[in-house]
Amino acid sequence: MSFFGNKRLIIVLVGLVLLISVVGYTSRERVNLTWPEMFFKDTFSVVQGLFYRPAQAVSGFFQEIDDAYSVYEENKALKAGLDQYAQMSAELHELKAANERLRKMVGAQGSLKSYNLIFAEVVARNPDTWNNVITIDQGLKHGIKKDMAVITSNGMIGRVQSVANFSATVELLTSYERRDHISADIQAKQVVNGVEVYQNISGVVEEYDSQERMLVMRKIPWGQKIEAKQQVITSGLGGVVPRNLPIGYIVRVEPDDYGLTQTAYIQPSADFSQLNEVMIVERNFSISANGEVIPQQPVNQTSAPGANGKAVPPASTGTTTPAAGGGQ
Amino acid sequence: MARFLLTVTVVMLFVLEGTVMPVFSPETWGLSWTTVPRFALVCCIFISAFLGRREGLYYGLAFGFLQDVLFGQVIGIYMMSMMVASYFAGMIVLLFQRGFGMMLVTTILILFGHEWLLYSLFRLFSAAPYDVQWILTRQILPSVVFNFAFALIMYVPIMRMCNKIMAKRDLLME
Repeated sequence: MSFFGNKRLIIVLVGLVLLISVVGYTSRERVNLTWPEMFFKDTFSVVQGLFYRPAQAVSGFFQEIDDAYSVYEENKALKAGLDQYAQMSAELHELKAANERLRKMVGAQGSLKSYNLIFAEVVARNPDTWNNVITIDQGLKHGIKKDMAVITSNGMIGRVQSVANFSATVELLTSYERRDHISADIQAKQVVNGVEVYQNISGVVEEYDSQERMLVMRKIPWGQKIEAKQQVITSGLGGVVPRNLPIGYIVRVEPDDYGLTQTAYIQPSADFSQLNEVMIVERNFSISANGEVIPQQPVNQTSAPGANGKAVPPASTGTTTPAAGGGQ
Repeated sequence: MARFLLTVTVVMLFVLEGTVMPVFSPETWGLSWTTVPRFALVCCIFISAFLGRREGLYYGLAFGFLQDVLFGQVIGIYMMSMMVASYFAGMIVLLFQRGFGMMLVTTILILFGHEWLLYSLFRLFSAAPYDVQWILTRQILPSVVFNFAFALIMYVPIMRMCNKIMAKRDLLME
């Protein structure tokens, strides 16, 4: 049998079949990682953490020296912004009180907005651009689950792609190979009959345009007037992402290819080039695929040092009209 | 011992790729092109050239697998590309003389081929940017230049380590 005599050919063929089956098995959307993957991820996350933090500390030091030169201008701008702050916070307080009173009257209990934060440190970042992910040092044991939203203090940066026991992988919004779409709202302000009307315009953040370095938001209804600099936030209508996480600012809007909807280009508000500490957003309830509301079990706080109490949603300019109730 | 040292060096360089190198990437400093560090691949190419293509194939397989597991979702893409790249590096060196210049030319060719293979794979399976010229000038060529500079630095240390392993292997053969 000359065919079986050719050992190298057999090995190559078997290897090829194995490779293709592994690719086929892993390319599906998986709920859990297998234990060898978890083992490798956990082990390397420890080693990577030893390198990443000092490197970031050194780079942060030089960044700070750089910043020191622009302190004067920055201070001026901040002071100008601060003048409006007192008035704004009074207005926000007023609106919150009114909101609470009205909600009590209606009898609404839950809110799309409520969430907890789990703090995590970044231990590594994929140098490659095809699959732009970071690794964080919190995992299953700290209450992290797949698909949770991840934010920095500036805004949303991505979602949890996979979780190992003591580490997790976060897929950034800037990844080319992103599979998730984020339901988002544009906080628009329009003047109708001489009266300012605050309004949310919904759409879906679908992809990242790497050439322009902006997020692309599609399926915005035709006829809505959207202007530059308007803020884009998550809508909270999806499964595990709560409402009110800032995504970015509108840069420009153009009609889509078929002329039925509009497409907006968004400048992300988070800085993706320097990621040190991130927060994982744990929603108080999640919505299943059938639209049922599943309340979150209370996390036992003993094992999670980072998990704190209820976080106050970041204050926007008080333009949001609170959506009532849960998903139904 | 020599083999252990070599492997640990490559693992350390692989870890550096994902931890220290993002600080030095041009994007962090506001430049428009990106360089992707592929230190492990450069080491695999040299190992394949000095220790034989089968050895290179094993190293490429292992570090491709690590890259896939740690940073990717689909296991097998980097495994395949790095395996093929280092195997071919060993093959090219086998055909010609194993001089310094020849090695460098081989490294450039293999690095470029590897980036190109990855681009075509991701273009095939998912939404890689369509503009070939853009990806070529902004990502592939800067990466090749950057990794080539790294290869110049690492050529002598890796050659020394490999020579030690070869010496031990010759000793066992006799």
